[in-house]
Amino acid sequence: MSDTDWAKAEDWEQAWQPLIDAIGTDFSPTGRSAIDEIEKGAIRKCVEPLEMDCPIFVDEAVAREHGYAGIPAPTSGISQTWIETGIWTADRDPAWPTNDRDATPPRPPGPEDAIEVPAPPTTAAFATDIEIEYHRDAYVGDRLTNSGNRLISCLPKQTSVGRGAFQIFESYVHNQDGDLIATVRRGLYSYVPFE
Amino acid sequence: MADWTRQRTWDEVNEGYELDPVEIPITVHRLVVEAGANRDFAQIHHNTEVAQAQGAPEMYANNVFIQGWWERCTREFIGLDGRIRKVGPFRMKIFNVVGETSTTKGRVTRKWEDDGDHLVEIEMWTETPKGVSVGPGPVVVSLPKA
Repeated sequence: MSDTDWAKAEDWEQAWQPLIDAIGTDFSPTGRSAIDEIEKGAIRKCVEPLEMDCPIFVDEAVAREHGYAGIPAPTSGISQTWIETGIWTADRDPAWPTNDRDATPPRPPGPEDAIEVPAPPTTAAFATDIEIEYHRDAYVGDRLTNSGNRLISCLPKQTSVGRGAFQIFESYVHNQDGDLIATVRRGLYSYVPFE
Repeated sequence: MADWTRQRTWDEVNEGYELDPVEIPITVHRLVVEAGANRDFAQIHHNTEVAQAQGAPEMYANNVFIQGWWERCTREFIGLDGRIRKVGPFRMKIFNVVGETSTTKGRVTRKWEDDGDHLVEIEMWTETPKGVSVGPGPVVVSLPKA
């Protein structure tokens, strides 16, 4: 019996009931700060694969001339790039302890008050939806904190790739002064692929 | 290259106005550069075998990269004085896979004033050769008044 055998059961949707019952719960109220401040070079690297030549991201004088308080961070990085907590730091276990070709580092530790999400074990997931309200800009030099992981919805569904559930979680991004930068609603489909 | 000397105003934009499309040819190299920049190292976005084991036809663009396409398309429309207020909800319907070109398009659906802000809603979506891959979803922006 494996952890993912729930996906083979006739009433497999029942495995998601504990998560459905937890709708409204914030599983991570405190949150974590990004490992780095937003850096000018990091912004340049972000616009590079997009070939986005908007000058506010590289020229502070132009940005200020157009009402910004400095070089702003691209808004498209607010849900990931500017809140990233790093793959490895000196106080963590090795991130790449084996040479397994497709091995990936363990997830970084969550906040101490994080609550385990009562979802059945799955082996695959991808992002499905995103909704972001931008309340103010983030700038070079800001160090952002991502908090909240409030479950908004959970819908078990079999799709062409497997059995799992669509879920939406809400989180909040603040700067170092406590200003709310963005509210992020992120949808994902986590599932057990068909064999 | 966008013309950043041109500033569109709220007054000149009307329902039905179409944004300039943004084409993104997706290559392995571009996905790897993107992963390094946006820090989404999930292997489904740079490893064919892992992506296929999870049911995708190939490695595919991650959602931050897609948000970037939408941001570029939006910024080229709003210019340096416009601001992005809200994006989404938008759904990623089919994978934007390596070896294809994804094109992001948009169309103005409404404009209104709210407490001194001059707002415009854009319906945005991304297409691949297989059809609409992302959206359509709303993007709300503010534009300067003439």
